[in-house]
Amino acid sequence: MNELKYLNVCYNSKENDEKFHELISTYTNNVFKYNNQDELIDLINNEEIHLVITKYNFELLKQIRVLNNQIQIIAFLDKINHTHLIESLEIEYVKFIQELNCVNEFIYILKDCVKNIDSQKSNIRKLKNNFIYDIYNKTLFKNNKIISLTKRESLFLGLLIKEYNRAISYEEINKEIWNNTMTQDALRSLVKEIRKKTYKELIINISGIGYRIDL
Amino acid sequence: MLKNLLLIGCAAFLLNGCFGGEKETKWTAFIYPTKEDTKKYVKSPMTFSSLEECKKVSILEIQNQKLENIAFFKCGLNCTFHEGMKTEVCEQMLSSTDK
Repeated sequence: MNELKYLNVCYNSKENDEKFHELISTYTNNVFKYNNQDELIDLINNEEIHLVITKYNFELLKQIRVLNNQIQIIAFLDKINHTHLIESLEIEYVKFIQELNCVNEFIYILKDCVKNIDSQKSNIRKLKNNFIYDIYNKTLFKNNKIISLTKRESLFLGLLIKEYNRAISYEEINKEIWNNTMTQDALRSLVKEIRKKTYKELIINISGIGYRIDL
Repeated sequence: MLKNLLLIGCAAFLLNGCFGGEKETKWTAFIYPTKEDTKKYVKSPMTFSSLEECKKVSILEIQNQKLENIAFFKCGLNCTFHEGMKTEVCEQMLSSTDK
């Protein structure tokens, strides 16, 4: 967990309790608390903040983005809806979470954010034909509408997009998507269904190796 | 004449079925027993065809449970399980506290 050590994190002390502070302090030495929006703006202006943890508020998030276009945001709210997911496309680097007290999920998200800080690549991938994929929230959009994906479609597309610069081997797909129970027909059918929901050239077959995404 | 009218009627009915159908709207009620804890909620086992019906049933349920002073509800439109986020996501969400 050393990768989190040098992360400058800030959160609203009114929205989170001491237990949360203890948790986050285990992973990073640089935790900043704020009590209101003005204090948050001051922090962003004066410290090199990498990550803000806040209750979802579109206007506040827009303001953060104007001040800094690289800050990662973990936004929590009790019920996520399509509007939130669509709004977050505009802001970028927003990862939604419903429950902050789910420690494992929270740490996994933190690690994802660190990777993204290092790569300096947006979590929003623009595909062809007006399709967009949000890597953080594993959501596919077309013309600002969410495209519903099955569990395997979501896993497979997510894997291909995350590893966009290489081909994913059949063995890897078998392990990651099917837990080693894949059949050729099942894989072919999965690719066909995703192509049907998106477009044919999105997924390219690399003969004898596997599949890769065409970004 | 009557035959022609019948044919036109059938064609109109079929065309309406193919192209004129509106998207089905399904509202789901989410009842939060306490205002303080928004992580705990009960989801209605059935869906409702209108927002009004969702509101009415939610209010009645809260009254039946005698939770009028502490509970609130939300009605979600066309909620489906989002595989990527591992949670139910609705197109739109209206709270009983919304105006």
